[in-house]
Amino acid sequence: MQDAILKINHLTVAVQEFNKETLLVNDLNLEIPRNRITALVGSSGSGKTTTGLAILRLLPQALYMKKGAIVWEGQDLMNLSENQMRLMRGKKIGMVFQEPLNAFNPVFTIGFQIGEVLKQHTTLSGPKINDEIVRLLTTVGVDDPPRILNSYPYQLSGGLRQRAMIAQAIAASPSLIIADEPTSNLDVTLQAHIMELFRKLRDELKMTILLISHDLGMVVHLAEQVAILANGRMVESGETKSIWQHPRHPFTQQLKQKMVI
Amino acid sequence: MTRNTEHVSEFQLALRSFKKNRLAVCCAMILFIFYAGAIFADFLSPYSYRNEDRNYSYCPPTPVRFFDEGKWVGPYIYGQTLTFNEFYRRVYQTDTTRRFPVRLFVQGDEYKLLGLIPSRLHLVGVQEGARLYLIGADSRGRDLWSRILYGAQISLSIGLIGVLISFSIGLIVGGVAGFYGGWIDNVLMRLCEMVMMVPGFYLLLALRAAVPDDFNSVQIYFAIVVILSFIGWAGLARIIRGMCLSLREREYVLAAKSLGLSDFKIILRHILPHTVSYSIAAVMLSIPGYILGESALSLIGLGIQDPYASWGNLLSDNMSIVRIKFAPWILWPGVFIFLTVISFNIIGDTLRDCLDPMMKAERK
Ligand SMILES: Nc1ncnc2c1ncn2[C@@H]1O[C@H](COP(=O)(O)OP(=O)(O)O)[C@@H](O)[C@H]1O
Ligand SMILES: [Mg+2]
Repeated sequence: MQDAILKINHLTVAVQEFNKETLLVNDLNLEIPRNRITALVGSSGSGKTTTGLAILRLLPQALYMKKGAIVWEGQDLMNLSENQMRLMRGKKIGMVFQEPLNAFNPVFTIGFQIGEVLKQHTTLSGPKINDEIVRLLTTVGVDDPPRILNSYPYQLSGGLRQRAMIAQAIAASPSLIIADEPTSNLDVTLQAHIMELFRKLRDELKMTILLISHDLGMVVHLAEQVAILANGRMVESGETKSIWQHPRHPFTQQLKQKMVI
Repeated sequence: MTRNTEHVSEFQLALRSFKKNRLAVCCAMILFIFYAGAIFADFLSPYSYRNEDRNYSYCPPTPVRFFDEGKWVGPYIYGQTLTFNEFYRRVYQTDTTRRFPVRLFVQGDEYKLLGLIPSRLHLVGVQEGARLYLIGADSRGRDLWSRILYGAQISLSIGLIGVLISFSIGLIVGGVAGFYGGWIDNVLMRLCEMVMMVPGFYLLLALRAAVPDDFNSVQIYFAIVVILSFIGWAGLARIIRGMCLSLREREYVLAAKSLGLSDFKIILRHILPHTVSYSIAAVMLSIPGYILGESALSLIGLGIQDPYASWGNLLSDNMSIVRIKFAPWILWPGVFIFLTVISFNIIGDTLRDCLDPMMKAERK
């Protein structure tokens, strides 16, 4: 067994609704091996985003973690103080959101918002920050970094915006990236480009990626491992190839045939 | 791949529809003129605010004339002679035999323009021997027009400085309460309510009573500003807090948190900037409160003290009905207060309507 950078043990997230407790994530166990791409696949509403946010301890106010541990290199993140946790976010674990148009603040330029992360987590200052932003944008495959840097989010196309957000997420060189449906708002060619970028992050920057998606077919070529989530429960997990070839759970078969989204 | 769509922010859109409202634009121009008048009061006023001549107590306006028997002779005024009637009341009579030309850019009382440049230059004035009273004189024969200009410096700036202070407090308190929610929100909002609970005017008097008597005029000025800000911050804090409660649910706030940015930066950069356009309307609507607060304090003699002029203490002359009857021009400061307050209110109301999405839908 490959050493795991993050272990999720018995993660249970609940919400209190009309005096009734609903479990959104139910006893989830998942190991995320270092320098690999692990996919978390499930239909919409199955609790994928909730799992991602629980890892960063950023659950919405109504939701709470009922049980479980999230172990980062032997340390349970639940035991960290809020300040220690803040040092994990962005610096150790980065997150890429589904819709970058919403995830960027509309009133600041892309460059400013990437620079903010650098100022928070690195000792860079002045023109060095600018150089670093250009380097990051080049890394994620942006052609004309100086121009993109001075653009506002709404001025960019969807693909460029997503690249810019990935650049922001990797700015403080975290070891783990949680990518929450990073391509579901893009067309097919762009999806392939972004997936290629994640492969590059893993191979060249030695990053670990937790790829959240509702499309099993899309992650199959990229992820070494896959976990299938249905209604907050993990129904199946293992090596992508074997699951793709021999799906055991009926839900996985449906996912494979894209019968559910 | 930049999209070439022209982007206009919400605020720019609001500004466009603001400009379509003639009344509001008119009010904005009035305020602009008033503030410009306050800044250049030293130059625009014929006399210094303390230049007095008791022989001209409550001297009526000296109208500027241009024609003499139908012939253009340039601006001049007639001299005034003081007599007493059978009740020993002052009666001023226009003495048409003495004529004093009104000159532009004359040398007069010394002052420092903008507090820096020493000068004696005044926009208008007359030579020795007569006094130019454009709208009349006060009890000590000081030119009321000059005193209104000087009073604008105090009355109009108190609103701005006051709102600046209470707005900063309101932003911080509202931002923190709205961002964190929970018990922090509870404590801060109960604090706001405690301040808002006490009727403003009594709180004003109570706080004024706490200020030492031996303050000089500058200290009193700042004491008034601080007192008014103390009363004003709570309302703003509540507005900001309400907006922050919804703004913190935005995805870019979550994204900023996921990047490990500090709470301070998130509140400052990702939450508060989005409250600005709405706050501007709130600020406009709250400035009159400061101007009226200062006027009220000065009117009852607890604010700016003679010889310094503020619109409030100029009005204190009006506390006697007899004086108003014999010298109705001492009501002028009230007209200026009225115009300023109503202008701020109309501008604030219009801005608020322009920013209101419901109204926007209506206009389409
Ligand atoms: N703030 C919330 N309050 C109540 N229920 C929520 C909240 N956020 C998410 N949920 C519920 O949690 C479930 C899982 O949501 P989510 O993790 O976003 O699913 P996914 O990302 O897999 O589409 C959904 O049924 C959703 O309705
Ligand atoms: Mg989701």
